Amino acid sequence: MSGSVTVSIQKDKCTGCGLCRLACSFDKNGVFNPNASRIWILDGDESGFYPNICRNCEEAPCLDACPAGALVRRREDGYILLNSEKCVGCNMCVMVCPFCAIGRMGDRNFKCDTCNHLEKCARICPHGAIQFEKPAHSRANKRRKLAGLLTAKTGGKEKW
Amino acid sequence: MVIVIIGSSIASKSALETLLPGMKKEDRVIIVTRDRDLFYSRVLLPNYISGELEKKDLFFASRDLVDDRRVSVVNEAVLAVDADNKELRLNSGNTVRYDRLIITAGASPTGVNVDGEHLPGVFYLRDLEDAEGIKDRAKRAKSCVVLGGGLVALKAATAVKKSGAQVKLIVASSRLLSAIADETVSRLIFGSLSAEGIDIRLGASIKQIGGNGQGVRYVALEDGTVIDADMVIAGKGVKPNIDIVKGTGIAVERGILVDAGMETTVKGVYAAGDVAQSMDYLNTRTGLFTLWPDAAQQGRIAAGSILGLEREYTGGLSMNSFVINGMPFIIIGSIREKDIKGCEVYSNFDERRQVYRKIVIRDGKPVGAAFAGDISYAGMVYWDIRAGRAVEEPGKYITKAGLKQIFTSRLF
Ligand SMILES: Cc1cc2nc3c(=O)[nH]c(=O)nc-3n(C[C@H](O)[C@H](O)[C@H](O)COP(=O)(O)OP(=O)(O)OC[C@H]3O[C@@H](n4cnc5c(N)ncnc54)[C@H](O)[C@@H]3O)c2cc1C
Ligand code: SF4
Repeated sequence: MSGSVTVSIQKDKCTGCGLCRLACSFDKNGVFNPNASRIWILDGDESGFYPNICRNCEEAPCLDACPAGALVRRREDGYILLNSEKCVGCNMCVMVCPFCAIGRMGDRNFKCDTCNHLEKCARICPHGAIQFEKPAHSRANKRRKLAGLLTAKTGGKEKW
Repeated sequence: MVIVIIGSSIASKSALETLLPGMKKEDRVIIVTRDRDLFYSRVLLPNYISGELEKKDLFFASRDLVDDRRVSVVNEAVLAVDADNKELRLNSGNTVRYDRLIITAGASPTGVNVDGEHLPGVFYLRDLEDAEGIKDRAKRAKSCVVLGGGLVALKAATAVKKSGAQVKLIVASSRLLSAIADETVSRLIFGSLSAEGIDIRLGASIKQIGGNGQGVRYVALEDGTVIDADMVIAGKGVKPNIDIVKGTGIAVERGILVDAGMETTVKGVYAAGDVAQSMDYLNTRTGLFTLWPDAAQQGRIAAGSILGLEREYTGGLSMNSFVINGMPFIIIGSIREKDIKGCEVYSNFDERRQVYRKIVIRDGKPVGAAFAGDISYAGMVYWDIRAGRAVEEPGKYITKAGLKQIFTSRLF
């Protein structure tokens, strides 16, 4: 789907400080408990750290897997949300998520919901390791791309 | 162009969702369904029976999807497809013409085929009406016998148990979920179900259902045992609803045969979901994949073919995820002993933690995996199987630390 939020991770900027996990758990559960976070930090030893979170896949397998209608794309920005009211905790989404970005608490599954556009993890990260690129930008990209094609047609060199 | 979709479940919904943004202004979609309510989820019916969900919670998509002037709904059963005249014959005698047809008629439960199978109080679990019947009867029932050891039988047993009745599960096979599970998984499921208070009889076949005008009174087994029961739920598998295409040029085996674009042997007619017999990802044969995610995908591909999008179905893969008494299970691909002869098999059962992991490798590639008790990284393994990704260190697939290492190394 064009015009959806894209999530980009710059692993080289992550220091493994864990602030994102605290911000996430506090926003979602009102507690500073990294285990309740919807973002995970993988420790790659000498290779550094990697903040792992839902990538908002263009063709998201989790959407097809959910038999409860709990996973849907938010209309405004194409972000995939897991509605915990509808979730029955069957783990079908967990089974197909290539990024292992869906967790579970109690009898329900959960995933990142962009903190209702506030993106607490990205905002708190002192190093800019996590970025949510808005569809507004994507649209701009598309326009630029189009412009690029047009210029290409007219002999321009721009490539997208 | 008039595009007719038979059925209003998941394959239908994903087809419709694909068609609407892609079709021409003058195109029309007609949904013909025997369901009273559109887009309710069969998978959730057990949660409805147990009382965890109400009817309003069963819908996986809003009815708003059909609130589009290009879409109309006909609430009637299709009796037959007339592929020569591009027409459907309906229950009422009316006909519906189509230019393109997508059949998403799903599957129906296989009958128990014993004396007494038509007594009041004998149920199957497939439609909302079935669930309503079961729910209603379970309120008054003291003892319920569930026949079958498959997923639907297990879910039905748990649901009725939660609603208060005594439940006995009668399984013909020598173990639970014998169609997809290996022995260890079967044993773990047995433990979880027993802990929920469900009484399980393995290797027992039913001879007769007895009762009177009021309904079921007992179930008699081949070995002479008689079990008191005031209701019976049969979960002995499903068969695709292919009757409506009998006598047309639409080829069927167990299901309607389709190609990678979900087209049947008749041009312009497509089939998707439980009704279709499609390519198998792990084998060269075709197979039935009566699974939700497959139905969703196939519906989209069928619709895409009609719109001229070239999107090929890569094949079905058996995959199941369920939770019994708080214990999560995921089974992907082939893990049964008899299916994996000659494969490399690595497994690990941690008795104390009640955690089980298994990976099956054929010619260097993973073809099956099981997780019980801890399903971390199952998604990664699923895609390794789908992608046929070579396994380098198989031992790592059966511990959490190992899986984490594989996952981490992929990201860097
Ligand atoms: C209790 C239960 C639990 C399940 N649990 C799981 C699970 O955990 N995981 C999983 O992957 N799958 C599960 N399944 C299977 C899953 O529900 C099916 O794979 C899925 O519903 C298939 O969707 P479908 O669209 O192909 O067909 P169906 O959901 O079967 O829908 C068929 C549609 O066609 C209509 N129809 C049929 N015949 C006619 C006719 N002649 N005329 C008009 N309309 C007709 C029906 O009314 C219905 O709308 C479960 C099923 C049940 C019953
Ligand atoms: S939850 Fe997983 S599968 Fe779904 S969009 Fe996010 S990364 Fe993709």
